[in-house]
Amino acid sequence: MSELTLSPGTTHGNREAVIHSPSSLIWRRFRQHRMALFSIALLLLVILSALLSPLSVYAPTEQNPSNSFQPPSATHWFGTDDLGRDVFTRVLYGGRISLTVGLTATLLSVLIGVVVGALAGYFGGLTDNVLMRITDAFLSLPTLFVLILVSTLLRDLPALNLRSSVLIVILVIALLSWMWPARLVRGAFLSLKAHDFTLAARSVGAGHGRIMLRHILPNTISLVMVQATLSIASAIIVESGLSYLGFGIQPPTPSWGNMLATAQTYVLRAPWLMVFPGLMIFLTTISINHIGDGLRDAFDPFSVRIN
Amino acid sequence: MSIYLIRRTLQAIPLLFVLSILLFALVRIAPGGPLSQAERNPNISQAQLQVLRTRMGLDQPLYVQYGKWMRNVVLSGDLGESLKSNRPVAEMITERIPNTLLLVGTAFVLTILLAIPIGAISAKRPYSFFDYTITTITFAGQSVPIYWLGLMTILIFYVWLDNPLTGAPLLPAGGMYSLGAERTLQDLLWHMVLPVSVLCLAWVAWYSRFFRAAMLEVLNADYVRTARAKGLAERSVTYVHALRNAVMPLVTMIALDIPTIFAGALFVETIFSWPGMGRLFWEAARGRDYPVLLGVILINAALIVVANILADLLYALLDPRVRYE
Repeated sequence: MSELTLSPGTTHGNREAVIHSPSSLIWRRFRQHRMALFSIALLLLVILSALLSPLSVYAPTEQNPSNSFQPPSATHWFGTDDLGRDVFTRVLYGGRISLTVGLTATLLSVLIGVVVGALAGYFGGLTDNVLMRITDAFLSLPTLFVLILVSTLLRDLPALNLRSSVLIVILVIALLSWMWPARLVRGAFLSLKAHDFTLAARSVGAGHGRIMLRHILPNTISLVMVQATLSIASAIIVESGLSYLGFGIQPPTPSWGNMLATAQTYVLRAPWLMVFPGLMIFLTTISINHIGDGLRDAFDPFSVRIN
Repeated sequence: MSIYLIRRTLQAIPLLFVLSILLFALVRIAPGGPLSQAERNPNISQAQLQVLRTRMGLDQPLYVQYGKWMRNVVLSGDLGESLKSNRPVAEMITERIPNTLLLVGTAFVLTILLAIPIGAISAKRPYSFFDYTITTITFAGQSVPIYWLGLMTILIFYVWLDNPLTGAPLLPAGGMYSLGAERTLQDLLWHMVLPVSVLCLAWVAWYSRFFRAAMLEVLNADYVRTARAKGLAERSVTYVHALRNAVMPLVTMIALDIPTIFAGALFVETIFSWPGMGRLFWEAARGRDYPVLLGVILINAALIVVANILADLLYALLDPRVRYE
């Protein structure tokens, strides 16, 4: 990659050549995506509220049965649930789990995906064949069903505490979602290894590892980042879904998903219970998706997005 | 073509075998396992546990257990017995499959009927008001979790809105038929409205966006310009020449999405108590009914494989250039 890139304007006969570095060019394009900018602010708000959740005057598992099913009010912004717990506090704490799971599961799955895809794309031949058959096999799995089966099995582990149950959810989601980044990275490696710069690196004696890590991988960063951003959103949806079905984070620890499960039981008595946790999932995932969309446009030198 | 079909089928069989071995081993080796609850129960003695193990064949080596299980699956379609109801798993699943197919099939046909026109009109007038509205809605539709969408429709159409004539909830919140009432087609359709709409909303969001992109690409293709150049009406250029070609990537996309489609069905069936395979799986998982879990996953995997082969065939049908050898 060259240090300096001409801005696209210069190629269209504009005499004044404005020179930007690649990163400033990306940022300039990203800035034009208003929804993405707004989404970053919204997501920061969600992250901040999750981080600051201990500041709430209520504790997430503090029960107060005489105060159950209070509709939203000045004292309980999102109302209280069946055990009189403050829903606002629980929603904030739930965010900690969902965001942690979303981020770590994605990191892990992208890591596996990049390794598999890089090896398959770079070496080709038998390596590629074996790795891609395994990828295909994983892709044809009924993923959600296997997720539920595995977490059902693991939930019977003795001495299961909160940390290990979160860890299980993270591992299982990562193990069943690395195939998409793997395919993407493989494709990129396949085409990039045919470029002259790879040949140049090899001709000066660079080893396979060096070529893969220092020469090809940096060129796939934009692809991987967009994919990773979008998969954070889907990891959050899967985690909340598992918890909603009763196979993810177990009560009394609040998570957006298991709060929805409680809410469904009391839909007639306390409809507000259903609104807030789901709204948080929705706002978080739509912000992340908008950011991913913005990144995709920003990384694409040919994008001509106006609004 | 038939040789291709046979080869694809033969390729799929080892895949299903490997999957079945992995799942079987997982269920038997994992610390939970079929007897975990009995083991923790202080009222069950070691001797009784041993009897249970022998009766379920759990005292034999793993490969013997697998061999027996697989022989039954292959020879007689016998997936074992449910630990809870003691009924044959195969029977429990065959009961539920038609319900799932009814739900998923209806939603799917509606999705295609909606997504293709929406995507086509959006692509025909990109950045128009219609396109902008649709893009915003579908973007939201892709981000909303399907279970929350389902719960909110229950809140709106069951809890909040009433039928102005009878005062009863506008739409039923779950099940296939009203309790204690006669099983009529009208009642069934009435119960299908919410689950089908929820699945449809989620899927239309994905496919119309995808189809818009496919259509945009095709509308710039040389053969579309040729069609215009030879004086064809814009209508037939768009809806005959372009549309047909844009459908093809959609077929591939749908084939890859089948696991996601079944996952959506699992959520919707669970939320709306729809007696399908997904709901059966959810109930079995809650009760740790491992034979049922294994059975449903295997059937699902087999359905996914079959659907993928069908998609390949459909692809060949739509694109005469595609020839499988």
